[in-house]
Amino acid sequence: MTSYIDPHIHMISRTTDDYHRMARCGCLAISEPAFWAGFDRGSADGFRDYFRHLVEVEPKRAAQFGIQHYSWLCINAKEAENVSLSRDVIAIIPEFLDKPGVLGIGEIGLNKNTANEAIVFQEHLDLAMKTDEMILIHTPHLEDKLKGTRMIIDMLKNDPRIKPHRVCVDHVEEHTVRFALDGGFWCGMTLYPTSKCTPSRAVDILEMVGLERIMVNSAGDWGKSDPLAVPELILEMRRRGHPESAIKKVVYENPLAFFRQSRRWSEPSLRNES
Amino acid sequence: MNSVNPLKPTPTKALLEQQFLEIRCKILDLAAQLDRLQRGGDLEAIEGDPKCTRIQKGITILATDQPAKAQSVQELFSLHYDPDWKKPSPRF
Repeated sequence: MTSYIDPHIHMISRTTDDYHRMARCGCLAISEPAFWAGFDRGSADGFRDYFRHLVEVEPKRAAQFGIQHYSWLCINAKEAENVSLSRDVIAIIPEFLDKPGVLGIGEIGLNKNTANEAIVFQEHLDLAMKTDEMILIHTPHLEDKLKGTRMIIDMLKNDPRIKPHRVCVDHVEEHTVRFALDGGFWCGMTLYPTSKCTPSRAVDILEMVGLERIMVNSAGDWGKSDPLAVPELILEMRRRGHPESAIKKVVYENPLAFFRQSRRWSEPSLRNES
Repeated sequence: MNSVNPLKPTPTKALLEQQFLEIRCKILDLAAQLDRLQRGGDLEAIEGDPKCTRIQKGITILATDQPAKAQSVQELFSLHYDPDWKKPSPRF
């Protein structure tokens, strides 16, 4: 069984049974970015409670099955249209940045590519750069993805403080992956039906762009999604006859290499087995 | 951009044998969806609808032998990007 790390999954929206299934399939660690709650929250205190859930509750749920849980903090792009609320939330993030398992700021990004979303994205970058945080980025979905990804990369390149190797541009697909890689950023492919990428297409992309600075994740969240999507990609790579060393690089070594850059990374006792 | 890629694509003949039924299924699904649109009875109502135009252009892309059809389809269904959009400034 190939051990793997899921670098982007929203366990708050999953049952404990999913942790069990993930552990049975070889999941050793996950990282959970802050995201949309399924509704637009009304106050910064709602986010304070959510951040507590991420840093206190989910690590305990994960630990029951030997899974190490890490998290990221932000106000997500969908709720960033409300600039006033966003600024209140950004102001409370520092209270949680040094909690165990917090890797950095994320998943920040754009949703409908509005001016307000861009302002809040830049203000998250400003916060991140105060303490040299790592950054996890959400790129928009469907018709908004290409435009939004290019706008995000414009903002990253416009900020000389940003170190591309400490940034992951997530949810890349065929038409956006090269923008991320050519900019020196890490990137993530999200294996999710209909609105994102399938395991087959993700392996196609790996065959085209190679294995450097690229990860895969399930982003299991409120929509129809599969928390075992990374094991599905493992199967697809095997089906195509790709070497185990390549599989291990994508699903284990690459996420580990990216996360180890976080100044708050604590190396769990990960089993190094294939 | 990347070091030597250890992943070799599956040879075409083997891939065709493996994937023929899946490709057939997807073509059939798409054919059935297009039939469903026609059975709806009011094709005039969607004439000129940009979604229809994109669907027709997407099918045209599939029928070509260009090497990056998936990327072309993604770009077809994407909003226009303006490189001169007004970026917020970093606050140092």
